[in-house]
Amino acid sequence: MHIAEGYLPWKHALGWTGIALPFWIHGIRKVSRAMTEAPRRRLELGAAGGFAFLLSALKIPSLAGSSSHPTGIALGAVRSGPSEMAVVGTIVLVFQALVLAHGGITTLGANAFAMAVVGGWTAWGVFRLGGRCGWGEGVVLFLAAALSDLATYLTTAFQLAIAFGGDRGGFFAAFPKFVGIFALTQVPLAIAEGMLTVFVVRLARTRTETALETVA
Amino acid sequence: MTLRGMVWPTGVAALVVAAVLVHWSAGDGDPIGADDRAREEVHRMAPGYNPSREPLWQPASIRQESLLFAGQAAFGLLLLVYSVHRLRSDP
Repeated sequence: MHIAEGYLPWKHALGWTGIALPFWIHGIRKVSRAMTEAPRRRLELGAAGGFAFLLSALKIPSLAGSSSHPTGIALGAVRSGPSEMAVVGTIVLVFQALVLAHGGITTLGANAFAMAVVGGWTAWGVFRLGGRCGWGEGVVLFLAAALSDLATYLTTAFQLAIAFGGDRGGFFAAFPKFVGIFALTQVPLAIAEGMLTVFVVRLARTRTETALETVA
Repeated sequence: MTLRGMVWPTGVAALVVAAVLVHWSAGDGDPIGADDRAREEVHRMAPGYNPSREPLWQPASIRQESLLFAGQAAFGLLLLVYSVHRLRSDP
């Protein structure tokens, strides 16, 4: 889902960086608070970061001879919080931009907004909404992760369409094209990420939590 | 582990096997990433567009690139396993 280095006009690159900036500042404050709080919070952030690093490194072949990767943002967004995840996701993106030449520094703002901000808040929103509707935890987690993944790719398609749609046919012609490119590879991956997220959340339960659940 | 608890691990294992099978059946050709397809689409839509910047550094070969990807995955897995292990042993 990364917009490659240089593949946004300067105005757009700067604009998205400006939009991402307040989320970074707020997130850094929340992360530094979490690091000094209970050790549990630190470990949960560690698990969230590890999961995001692992999943975004998995280039999985998908339909139509194309490949893509899941984002792994949802787990941390529901366990640690979406503001914290905006920072963790950005760290992953910086790593991939500098070491792997995937994504870029000029497009960091746009990519961080799509993956870490929109992806994180979507997961959190779906999780809260599903919980309020009284659906089972597994279902809610699955939906949170899968929809967060899809929201990220829709945002990337939107960013590319408003940047490059102008020349031919405008935004409304360009948006479906980019959505088509990402959707085909991303739907199976979103389902896979949903299942993995449920699995890891269950795995990360403490004994006390598991015992309480068995009693209930 | 209860029977219900087995559903997710089994599902994950099945997905991994499926991914490996798909990878095999795809043959030697590396599947084109969705990001690269988007990049091609940009050039189709805006033929005059000149990328404003190049990456500072790029992996020299596909082999080096996959090695770095594997390194990232390994680091993530280690951090995840360590954290989950500590969380589980938390009283």
